[in-house]
Amino acid sequence: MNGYHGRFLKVDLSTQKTEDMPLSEEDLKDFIGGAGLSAKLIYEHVKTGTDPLAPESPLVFAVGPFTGSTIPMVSRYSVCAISPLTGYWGEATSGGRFPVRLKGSGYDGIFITGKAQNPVYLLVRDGHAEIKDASTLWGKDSYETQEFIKNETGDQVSIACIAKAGENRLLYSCIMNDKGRAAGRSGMGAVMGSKNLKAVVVGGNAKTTAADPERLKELTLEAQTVIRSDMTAKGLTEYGTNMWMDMGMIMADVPAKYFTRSVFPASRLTSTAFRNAYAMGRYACTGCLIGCGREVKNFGPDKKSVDGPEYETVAAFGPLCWNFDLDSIIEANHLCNVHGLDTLSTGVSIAYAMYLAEKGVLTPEKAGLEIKWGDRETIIQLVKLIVNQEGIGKLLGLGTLRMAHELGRDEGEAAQVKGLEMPMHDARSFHGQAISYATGSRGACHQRGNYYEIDIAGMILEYGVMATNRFSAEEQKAVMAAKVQALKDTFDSLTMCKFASVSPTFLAQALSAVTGREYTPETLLEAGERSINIKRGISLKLGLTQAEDRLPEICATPLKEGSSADKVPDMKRLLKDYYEFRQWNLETGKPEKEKLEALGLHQVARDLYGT
Amino acid sequence: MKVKAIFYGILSEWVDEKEAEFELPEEATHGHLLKEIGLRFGSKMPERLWDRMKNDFCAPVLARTSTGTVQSGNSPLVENEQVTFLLMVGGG
Repeated sequence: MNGYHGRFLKVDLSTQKTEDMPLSEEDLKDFIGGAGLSAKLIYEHVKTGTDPLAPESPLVFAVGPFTGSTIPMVSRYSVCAISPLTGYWGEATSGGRFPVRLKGSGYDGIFITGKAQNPVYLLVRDGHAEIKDASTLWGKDSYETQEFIKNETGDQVSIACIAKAGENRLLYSCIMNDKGRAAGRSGMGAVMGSKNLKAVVVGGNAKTTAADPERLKELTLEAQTVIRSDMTAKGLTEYGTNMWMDMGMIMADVPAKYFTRSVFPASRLTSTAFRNAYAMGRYACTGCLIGCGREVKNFGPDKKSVDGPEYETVAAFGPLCWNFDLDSIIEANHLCNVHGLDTLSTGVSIAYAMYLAEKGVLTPEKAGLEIKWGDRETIIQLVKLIVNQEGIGKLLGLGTLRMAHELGRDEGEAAQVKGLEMPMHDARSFHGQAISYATGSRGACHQRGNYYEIDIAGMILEYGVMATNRFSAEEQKAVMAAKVQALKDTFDSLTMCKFASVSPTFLAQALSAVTGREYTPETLLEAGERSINIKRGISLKLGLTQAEDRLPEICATPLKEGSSADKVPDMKRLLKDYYEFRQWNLETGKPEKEKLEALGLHQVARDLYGT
Repeated sequence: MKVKAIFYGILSEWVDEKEAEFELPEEATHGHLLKEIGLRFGSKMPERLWDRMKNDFCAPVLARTSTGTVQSGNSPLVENEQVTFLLMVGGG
């Protein structure tokens, strides 16, 4: 089977049983791999009322057909489950070396159910799996855990693990791998914690074949040339993802003071500001030509090298909290990495607490401390309280939607979609971004709906996607946003880094060369749509309603400053156009039966519409 | 010679035009075009985008012609050339 091993490892932690799980040719053709294939495998295990943290709830790690091949920037993996944060479909991705080693272990993914009686870790190497005791690891942080396991198993493995946040099933805890790489969003760490699974450890040198190795060689060279000559890629190499900070502020794209401001002293937080203040190192995932990752050297006597921070994190602990102190941003990011917290949900929840404190809701008496905008000590203290689930940290650890519920506040104040906190690209500055957030499979997601890139200067010729007025709902904006979402979803099925500036034509040719099946840009787009629709089917089973495809009021209230002043997305128009294109019902939010049948999602059609 | 500058994507918002035509001397270079862009639009663009002293974009802006990416200010232009300017910047 070209491009694949043709099997997942199936693990039942309750019975401690592991076995091969063969993959069908048809599923691989239709869902490709990664998150799309995971959704297909998870679908039948989801029932109305399924508890995301119940033993029977599956957790899936998956790579794609490109992983382990010569194509650059394909060391990515997806980790998927029902999200404990949102209660709906959840997924996160990460890079590093783990994905290549997962493929090298002889499997295309790992499908985990059950709950171990005591803490365990899973070791998968050279086609063999072992469930090993991790009692002594429980309570260790993510760096200690990785070091301990490497000492036990040898260096030639990669480790994806949880730390205190995941062990305590904190709703937005993440999974850390290869030191400071994070599968950050939607609480996948809590799902691991609920299974008493401390780590997944992978290694081995198993290879898959390519259907047309000569063509793959040509395409690899082509991709290398394209990526190396891409100016954005060069910028990412030079400055990291935080290159966005000052240009983003000019575009009013960087949210500030909990989504109520867009103008702030951005020059204090740029990559250059970081470089002037610290010795910065660079990190690249296996096979990456860019190396967007950053490390801060000699941050403190006991911190010789600290991973990150990336743009999203700088923005979340920075301007969103009205904080312009670099030390505290680095420290907050490091604490999140050490203890396994999503920096985005953490930063947004802290900023919400600051907003509530200003409104007199979270008084010092109620919060147990005085919460002030931009106070570096407060930010660090709140991160620690969240990690330890102490005091006000218990409330903040619930995420913004539950915080609003607990405090009896209007839901529209909670900066989230479907329970997932907003990323650091303001929906008012790019209205294609607004519809992407409102309809994202996992909630507010910039990874699969990074539409700002299109309206700055992007184009996808194959799909007729062009830059248009960023504040307009006209000119097919919602349709183009839907296509971009589908394409980016396919990146997570392939599992390929979204910073790889390759075209859909390239992706189709490469997938054809690897698998031997004929793909076109159109069939890739269809695969993205199929993936989005099956994820939608999962969330609908779990109770998702159409009303949840919306922006929270706090992120849709006109700003009074900056380049997006007085501009708000026309959500009614955007949603109408989006639904029409997707063939989703505007009242129920369900995909139309005909659409599901056309995508081959017959079981989803039966579940939603009966036989 | 006549040369057309196309401001793609968000650049058109700052310049307030999607495209503009320029009459340049024979044997004009890309540098000449930038100078004219500066004269006509420089004051409209934010400082972080346009360097008024150097008469050039200071943010990563790509200039493309029918033959490929413009490499420097000395690159020659030809009659009826269309130069597309794109802001190249990415976020996390």
